Amino acid sequence: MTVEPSPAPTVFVVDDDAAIRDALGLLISLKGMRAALFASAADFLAVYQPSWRGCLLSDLKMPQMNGLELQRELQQRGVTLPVVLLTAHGDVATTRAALKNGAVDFLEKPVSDEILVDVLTNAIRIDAARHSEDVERAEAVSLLSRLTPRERDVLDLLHEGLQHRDIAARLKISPRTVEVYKARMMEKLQCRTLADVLRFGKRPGSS
Amino acid sequence: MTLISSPKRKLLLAAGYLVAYVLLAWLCYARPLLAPGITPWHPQAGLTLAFLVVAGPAWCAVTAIAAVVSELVIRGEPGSVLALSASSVWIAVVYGTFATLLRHLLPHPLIRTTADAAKFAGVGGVASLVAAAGYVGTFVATSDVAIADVWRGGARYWFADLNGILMLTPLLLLDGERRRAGWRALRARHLEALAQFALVLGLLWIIFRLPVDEQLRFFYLLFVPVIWIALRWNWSGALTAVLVIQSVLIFAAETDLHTPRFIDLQFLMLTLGVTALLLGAVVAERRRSEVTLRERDATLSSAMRFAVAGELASTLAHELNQPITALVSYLNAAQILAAPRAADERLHTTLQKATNEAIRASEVMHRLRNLYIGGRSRRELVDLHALCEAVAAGLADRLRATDTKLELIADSPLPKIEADATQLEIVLHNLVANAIDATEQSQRLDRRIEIRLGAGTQVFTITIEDTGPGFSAEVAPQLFEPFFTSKSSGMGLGLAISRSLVRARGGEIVAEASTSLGGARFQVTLPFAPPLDEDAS
Repeated sequence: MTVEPSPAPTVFVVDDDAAIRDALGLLISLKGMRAALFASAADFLAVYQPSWRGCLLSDLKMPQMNGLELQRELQQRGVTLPVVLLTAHGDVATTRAALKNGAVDFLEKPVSDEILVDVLTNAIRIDAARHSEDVERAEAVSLLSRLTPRERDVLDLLHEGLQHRDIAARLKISPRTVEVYKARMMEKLQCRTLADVLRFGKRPGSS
Repeated sequence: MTLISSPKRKLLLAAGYLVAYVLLAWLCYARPLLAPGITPWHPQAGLTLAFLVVAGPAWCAVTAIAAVVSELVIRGEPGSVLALSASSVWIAVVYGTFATLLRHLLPHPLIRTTADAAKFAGVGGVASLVAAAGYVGTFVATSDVAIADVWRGGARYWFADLNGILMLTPLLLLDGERRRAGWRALRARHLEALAQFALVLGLLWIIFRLPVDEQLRFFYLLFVPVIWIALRWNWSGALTAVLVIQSVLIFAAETDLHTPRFIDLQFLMLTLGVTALLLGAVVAERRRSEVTLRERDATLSSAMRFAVAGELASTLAHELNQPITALVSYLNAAQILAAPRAADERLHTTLQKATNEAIRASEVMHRLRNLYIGGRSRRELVDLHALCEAVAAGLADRLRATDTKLELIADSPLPKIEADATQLEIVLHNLVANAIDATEQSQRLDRRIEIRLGAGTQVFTITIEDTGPGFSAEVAPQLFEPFFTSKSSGMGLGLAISRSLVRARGGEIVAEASTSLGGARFQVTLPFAPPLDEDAS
């Protein structure tokens, strides 16, 4: 799997009220963030790309698909984009349901600009962290996929804390050959020390 | 009827009873018949039954003593010691037994419904008959009496006891609260009471001035004031009137006024007493159900008004909050746009003030909304089946007018639900009223509405189906939105209110097509446990 250069983080605003959409879009862009506007959950889902970075700012109460349903739909599709919901004041029950469902935060209407910026920045940071984890994991998978089965065995046994001599006995090869496999494996994984090697998880996904 | 438990008070009561018994027996000793001297009036029998109901049947020993003492005081030497003691014990045991029966048969307070009154009269009739049979029996066994006299004496004793019981026992068993209510009513309408009293006494005065053979015919005029009093004062007033008539008759008997045969007067008093008791009970029952109905109507309509106002406030708050949200965001944006060109500091502060005012407007709306929503729900155990019946009763006129049949089918047993009864009733009322409107729109002749009540493992379900035209798929999503209506009259808030109330209770309401009846089908689901309080805030 190859990793594309990630696009700039964007706030994806979904609200059926044109005035709110427009005002929030203007405010977000004036605060130095990128905003993309959608009039309904369906509009957003129709064009969504997995490469999109940033966060989703969705109104809770919308005709057809509401904010909670959009959030559930995204979850089912495996989309990790953090969701911030816009709720009416004092709608505790729905807010709680949203948070339980994995929304990172919620904003009560009308929104003060400082809180808006705080919440959105935080959501974008969460997305970035999730994304870089994804990237690291993807990198690890792609590096590990380059190992031969024997090199992979050596890596696994090193994980178990075995000495070269024991590994040789276990794999029924000479300790010298173990040394060779280990050196090649470290080179492929771009590691200098044993500690670096051990940071690779034990068989994170098969090669 | 107040049941007394403290032993000291019971002793006092027993002493009072003993004195009153002897006094009544002495007062009413008139025109004795046969050797034992059977008198035509036994108010002491009514006193005894009331005493034994209050004190408990174990105190019937006091009754036996009272009977012996009064015989000795009034008649001096007893004819036969054996007969006297046997008859006294008999009376005591009989009334003790029937007092126990009354305590089991009738609720507290003694007479609330017509059925209670009928039961009481029945028990009184049997008790006095058994008492009379025993009493006369002991004298037949101990002395020579002609067989015709036995029948006469037995009947006289029976009616004497029965009259005493019918007139006196219910009045004596009135509980404090009702007695106080009676006095209050009497003070408020004392002129009317006085007029009725005067009418009774006037009629009696006229009747006793007539020749004896005319009297009996005119005695039936006494039904007029008794019925009047029963209609106005229910059975307690009517029985009081009968007691007054009875006292005058006793007075007449003792002063050697010319009167008809006492067996005729006894019959007259019996019919008067039964009429007063039953008619009065019907009036009391009817008046009470009218009051409950009125109170229910008042509670329901005030709750309904509140719900309408709440729904309006809630809708208004939401609808206005949208433009306010846009406004606040625009103003925030304007402040940022104005910042680099800060030629005039006042522009910034003015925009800030405008923002604050917009936020304040939003807060006012929320306060208004919370005023109607916050902490209004009560928690009580509600019998859903009874509630549905009440709703159906409230809409009975409309069901009749539209010739719609309403069927109520319930799981049994159906546990009680913890909810606000009035709010639940509003929901059911709205749904059933809608169903009636719907069936009326349809051309079908067999108009039917079906309410199904069920309890699953976690939720109650209430399903209401009708034979109306149903609703189209396009309107389905809007059905529960405020101000959506298919009727020419109506605000379109009924379903919106119902949904708000159901959701506040942690439930949900959905509409779909009815499969069995062909119209609409509304299903309310309510979880067994109501939501935590904070949700309602």
